[in-house]
Amino acid sequence: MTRLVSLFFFLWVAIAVLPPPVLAETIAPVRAAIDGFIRPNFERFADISELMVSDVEPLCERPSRKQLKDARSAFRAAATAWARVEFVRVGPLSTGNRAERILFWPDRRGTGLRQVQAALANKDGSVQTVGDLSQKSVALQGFGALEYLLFGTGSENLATAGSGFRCAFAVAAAQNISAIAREVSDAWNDDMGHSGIWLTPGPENESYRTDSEALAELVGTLAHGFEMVRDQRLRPIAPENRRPGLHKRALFWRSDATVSVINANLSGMQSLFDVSGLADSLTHDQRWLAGSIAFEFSNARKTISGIKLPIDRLVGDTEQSSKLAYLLVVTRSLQRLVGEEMANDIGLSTGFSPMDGD
Amino acid sequence: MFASAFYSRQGTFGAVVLSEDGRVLAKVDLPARGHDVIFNRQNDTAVVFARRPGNFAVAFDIGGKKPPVTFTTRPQRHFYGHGAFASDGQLLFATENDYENADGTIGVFDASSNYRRIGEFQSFGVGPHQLMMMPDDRILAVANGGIETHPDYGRAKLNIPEMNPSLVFIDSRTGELLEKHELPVGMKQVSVRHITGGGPGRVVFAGQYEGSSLHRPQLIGQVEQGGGLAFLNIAGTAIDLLRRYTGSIAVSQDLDRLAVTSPRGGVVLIVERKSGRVLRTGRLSKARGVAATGNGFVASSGTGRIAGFDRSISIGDQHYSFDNHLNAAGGKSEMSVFN
Repeated sequence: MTRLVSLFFFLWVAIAVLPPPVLAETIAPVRAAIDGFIRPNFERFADISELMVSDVEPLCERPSRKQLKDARSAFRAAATAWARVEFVRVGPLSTGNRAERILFWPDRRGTGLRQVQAALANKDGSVQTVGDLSQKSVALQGFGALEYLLFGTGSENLATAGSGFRCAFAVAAAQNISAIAREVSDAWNDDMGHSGIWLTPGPENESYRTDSEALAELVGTLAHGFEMVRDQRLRPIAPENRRPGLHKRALFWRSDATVSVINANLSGMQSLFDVSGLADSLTHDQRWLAGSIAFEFSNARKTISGIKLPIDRLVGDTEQSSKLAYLLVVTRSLQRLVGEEMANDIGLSTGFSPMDGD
Repeated sequence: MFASAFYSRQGTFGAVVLSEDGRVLAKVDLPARGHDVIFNRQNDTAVVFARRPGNFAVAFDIGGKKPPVTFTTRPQRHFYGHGAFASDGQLLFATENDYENADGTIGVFDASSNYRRIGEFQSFGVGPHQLMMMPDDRILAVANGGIETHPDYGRAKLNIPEMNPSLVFIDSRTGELLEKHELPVGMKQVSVRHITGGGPGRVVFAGQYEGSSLHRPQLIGQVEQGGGLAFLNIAGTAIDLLRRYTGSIAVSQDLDRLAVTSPRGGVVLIVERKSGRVLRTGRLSKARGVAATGNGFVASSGTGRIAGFDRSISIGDQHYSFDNHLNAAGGKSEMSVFN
């Protein structure tokens, strides 16, 4: 009995042990992240998406080579603006499959391509307006479909009259992206929405019980972002997979926006890290981590700037594709530095673990 | 005794069998992270499975008399981290991913032949995760989480908008689908992951929500063979604590209560099965595995604890993080964490 009692006592000692207290102003990086990065970047994405609509619409009214060129440039700009902030999946982007509606990727089995080609072949009337399109398969709604329409087989015909169906589909897709982008931006700007929830942790808060949990969400956003770039953007086209046609596994290979989008992903993550001031949360002994993180971001930037070939030649070129392999190493390192070393140092022993899952 | 997979801060991986007072009875090193460890009660061995997308499993002798046996699934497959023995300890069934076809399979292994893979059958769903042998020793219950993954894309989830999880009953001798229970409309993004027995013909499950981070759906329910699937109606305040994610589930030996862990919420909930009433809420940082023992439950954590012991379980000078599952065997323990 004595043994049982003592075990019971120790049990509660064991489970009552809380993680190390997090320093004052724990929530400050979250506030800085929302105000200084998340809100302005979703707003920018919404604005640039609207500009994209205004560059795609004239294709239907006044098709020309120049108009097609402008529409394609606008696509690249909007895709890059999206890439800068897409890794912030928490809150508005996680609702109603918005992230997948904007970009359904990875699309391993080519669902989007198959559906877009079928819609074009059958002249499916339900992809002609944004209202109808937004009710269709997510793979038909976003950047994946729009890229094929603007850059894929037959897209050159958009420069001349007679591609009304394809053009109307492209306008609907652009409008759909723009509408979702604005919804997401408005939701982030709503103080009563997820922003407010994230900034007011407490026992009554259904999402964040403590400041530490709120901070863990921010660190987790970065850690999962590195994983996304590595596993979904780099790994499929890594040199170890080299074979003919490998470039077709890259996101946005038709528009040759693959590398600029990876660049936008990583520069967005660096901005979020810098703007949030997460480094200030590190304990004195571990401040060196901030330097290591900055060093790796710098490595990534330099490596990407050394990529000169278009994606179809890049993946087959030994020297150039070795840079993709190096980026795999860098993103793995960043994930470890932020998601493990930093998370451990600032006492995020509850709420977030990069090792979670299954 | 208890078994769990672990990883260390030094970046090493393994599986361990511990006595109730924390002594290491057996330990095996792994080349990568393991997930569940199951006992073969017929010959005092345990089998640990690689966490997805790993393709190895290791059978090891708890008494340490025989060297461990490492086996793999076939090419174009990987394990999902779980397996179940038939009661004679000869046949082992493991959930696998036929990833080129985005289909779930159950691999069949012969324990008497160094775990040679002797066959497979469908899991009748995408992303099978935990499975268990029903008390009749013939029917397998399988939780098809519904999430498509492919090793080319790491652990990325490829079909969230279209996911369709299910819990199925399969005849383990023929591979025939006996019953399939899909989740109701509106709950399709609850990935059914963890299951455990809830009495004759009954299975209790716990899931992970892949939808909006602003939603708080029920995550725990039960299925009855020949009956239906139903979620428990657990109070929203308790569901909030789970943070849309459960790590493992166990049912008490008297079948009246269940315990569920949430690593993200750092919590262990004890729930009355009949009513869904939360009987107890225990804070446990990085709560991972849970097992029924004596008249209560024991939980493990990612900080190296098995709650109920007065110290972290550590081996040598290293600290261990236990993985999401903790299995108990022996049944003599009177230790109970939550009762």
